[in-house]
Amino acid sequence: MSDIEVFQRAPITDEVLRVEHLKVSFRTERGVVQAVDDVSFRVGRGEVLAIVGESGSGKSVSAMTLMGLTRSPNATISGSARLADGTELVTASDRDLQRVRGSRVAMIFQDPMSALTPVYRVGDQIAEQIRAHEKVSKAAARARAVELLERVGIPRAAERSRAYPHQFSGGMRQRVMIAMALSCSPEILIADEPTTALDVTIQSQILAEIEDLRQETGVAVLLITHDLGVVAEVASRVVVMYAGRVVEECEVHEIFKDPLHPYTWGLLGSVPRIDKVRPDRLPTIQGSPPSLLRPPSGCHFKTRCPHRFAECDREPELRALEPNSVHRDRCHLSLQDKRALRIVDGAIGLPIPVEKELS
Amino acid sequence: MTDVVTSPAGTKAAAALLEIDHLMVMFPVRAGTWGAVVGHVHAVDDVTLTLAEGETLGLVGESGCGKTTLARTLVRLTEPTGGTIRFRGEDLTAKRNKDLRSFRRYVQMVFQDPQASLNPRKRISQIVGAGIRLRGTSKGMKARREVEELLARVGLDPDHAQRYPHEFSGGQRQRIGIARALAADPKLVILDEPVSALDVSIQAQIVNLLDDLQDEFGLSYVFVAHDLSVVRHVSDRIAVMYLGKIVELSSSDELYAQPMHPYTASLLDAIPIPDPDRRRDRRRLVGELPSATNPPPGCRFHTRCPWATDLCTEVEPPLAEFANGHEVACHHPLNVGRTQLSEAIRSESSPRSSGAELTLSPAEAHRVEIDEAQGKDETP
Ligand SMILES: Nc1ncnc2c1ncn2[C@@H]1O[C@H](COP(=O)(O)OP(=O)(O)OP(=O)(O)O)[C@@H](O)[C@H]1O
Ligand SMILES: Nc1ncnc2c1ncn2[C@@H]1O[C@H](COP(=O)(O)OP(=O)(O)OP(=O)(O)O)[C@@H](O)[C@H]1O
Ligand code: SF4
Ligand code: SF4
Ligand SMILES: [Mg+2]
Ligand SMILES: [Mg+2]
Repeated sequence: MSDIEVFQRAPITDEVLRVEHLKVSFRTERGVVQAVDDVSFRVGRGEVLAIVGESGSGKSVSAMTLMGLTRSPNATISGSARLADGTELVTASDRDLQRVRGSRVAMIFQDPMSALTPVYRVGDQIAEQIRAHEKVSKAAARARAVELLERVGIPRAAERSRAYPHQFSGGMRQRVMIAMALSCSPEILIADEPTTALDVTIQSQILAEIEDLRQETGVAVLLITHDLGVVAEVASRVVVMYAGRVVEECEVHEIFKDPLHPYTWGLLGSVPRIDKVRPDRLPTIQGSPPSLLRPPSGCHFKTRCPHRFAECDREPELRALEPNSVHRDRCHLSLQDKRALRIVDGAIGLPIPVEKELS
Repeated sequence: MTDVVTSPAGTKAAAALLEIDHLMVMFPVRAGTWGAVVGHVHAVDDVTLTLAEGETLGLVGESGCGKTTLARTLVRLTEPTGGTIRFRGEDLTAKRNKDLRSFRRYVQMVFQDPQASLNPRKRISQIVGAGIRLRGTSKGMKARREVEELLARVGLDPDHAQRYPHEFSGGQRQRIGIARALAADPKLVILDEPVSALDVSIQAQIVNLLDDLQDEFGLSYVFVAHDLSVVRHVSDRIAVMYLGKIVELSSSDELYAQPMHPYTASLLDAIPIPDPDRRRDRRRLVGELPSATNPPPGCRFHTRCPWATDLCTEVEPPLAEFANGHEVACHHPLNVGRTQLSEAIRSESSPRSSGAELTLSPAEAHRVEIDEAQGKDETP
């Protein structure tokens, strides 16, 4: 383990968040759901780390745990998530976490309506947020709110700040969320599928706004998405999750040019491409995700992986296959095998299994 | 076009399954303590479309442009304010709720959010069984067997019939929604963002499943989505909506190869490509989103269109129909030559409020810009 450790510590300049061995489980009537199973990753200042992966793989639970939003009597949380100055988020008291939330770590959600209060004016909500963390007058906070709305591209911001959330379109509400998230210049912005419900032109505006702010303020962004096009356009690094675990972590170029985990190959192979000829059928990954109540032993992807072999009953570690590489993956195949196996019909993907596709 | 039949309505030919004629849906906007109506949202504003048997029509457009409202109106979950919907020639808008029962069986809907649309207190067997009951035949053992067969058909374990919706993942819940729709043995299925919340591999499974079911049962689909790559994959034709109106209608391949409406062009331009070497400087749509209660006069896109002229602010462009059925509501369409422009005719599907005559001309100003940007030869 220790020689592997060396490769993992390749430089991330100016680390703002380090998550290590994070585990989150929920007790339910059917048993214990291991939603997050030993997740580790780091985020550097001013970078965009994208988290992609299977629906239900634990992306949102991981992010919400950083904000203390999964704390509940039926949840068990262990591991560590530390900010640059050593503040530990997993064990922090609710009061300390409250202080971190909004001021140092901010989050925007898929559905902005659920995070805004319908009966308060948009500008007042942002001003409240500012005053919760800073000693400023009401008037000053309001003025700041208008400035923030301007910065995220809301036209006639002074006037619009007096509107109620329902008078805004989905895209504008999402911008309000961003304005709110940035009101206290956080070090980290967590964005959980911020554009999934929006059309592509608005998506592109929102992404451009996040990008501008990142460049201006150096905020680090943790971006959860299932759109690999979005990943290609805005991410610096990528973490791929499958059934509660990180299965691959690398630079954005590598995920598209040199992906090492079979699940990642399947994901890339499934994307319908607007820039390519349309195929008769979309390639898929056979089968369905494993139950988190009783995940398979060994590699979690084993039940669906066409490349599995005897070794896969043993749990693979997340490790780099080349010395000094920051590209890590969790699979027993050798690097040589991976590079040969991942090409299917001239592109990256998984071979179509002989069995029936849906089973 | 060999199997041209005359529909009972006696009008359009070519076995139209669904004919939407000048459909309008307006929602009252209320304000103040007494809820006085202060205006209307023109959610669907004079839309005319047809759908052939076995066809898939894609429906795309800006958030809030009226896609869901149109979809819901087709299954009569929302009442139209005006216009007609004919299913196999029968006017549905004239029917009362009671008479709609037999029709409901033929037109089913799959909702965007499977979590919200499946009753959490009902078992899967009850949810899917409700569709079977719409057909009114099978009961007891026979119905149970049918439920199990359907679950297997959509790739679920028949043993799951006794479970509740929350025990399934997002992708599995979407399959349940599809099984419920299929149970009624429909002819037409309206799919509102059926794969938007799912990861790409599950998305691909659902898309392939829909493909198979279409072949097997001869289904027609109306497929609403934000993801233009998915829409292109599934659709025969695509309708683009903007602020309650159809602005472009074309075969799927041609829409992507030759978008004519500036809004369509900006949509296509905004699609993120999963290839980091092709990171582009996104050209952003500027200008303010117009209000749906008080839409701009003339062309509704003129507040944001880079190629708008004075004409655009005054006259609503009718739908211009080109040789291969490609229709566009724009005074200055993109990607067409002068000859094509001169041969276009005013489509019968044009909104009533639009100009009585076609006034097409290439926008000279934008042509220069595009040619420089793409290094293309000038179109004659
Ligand atoms: N409070 C809870 N109690 C029990 N199980 C939970 C709870 N919250 C989440 N889960 C389960 O944990 C798993 C991970 O969920 P999570 O929301 O993190 O998935 P995700 O990766 O964000 O998926 P998606 O892409 O669909 O949003 C899921 O199987 C979910 O059902
Ligand atoms: N019940 C209602 N009452 C009042 N206004 C409504 C109602 N339902 C929808 N609207 C409005 O009608 C317009 C069209 O909404 P619709 O939900 O059809 O849009 P959409 O195209 O499906 O958008 P999205 O892509 O965001 O789902 C919007 O301006 C919306 O605010
Ligand atoms: S460890 Fe085995 S089963 Fe898992 S991804 Fe690698 S080859 Fe497939
Ligand atoms: S009619 Fe005018 S404003 Fe409308 S899309 Fe065409 S060029 Fe733009
Ligand atoms: Mg999630
Ligand atoms: Mg909708």
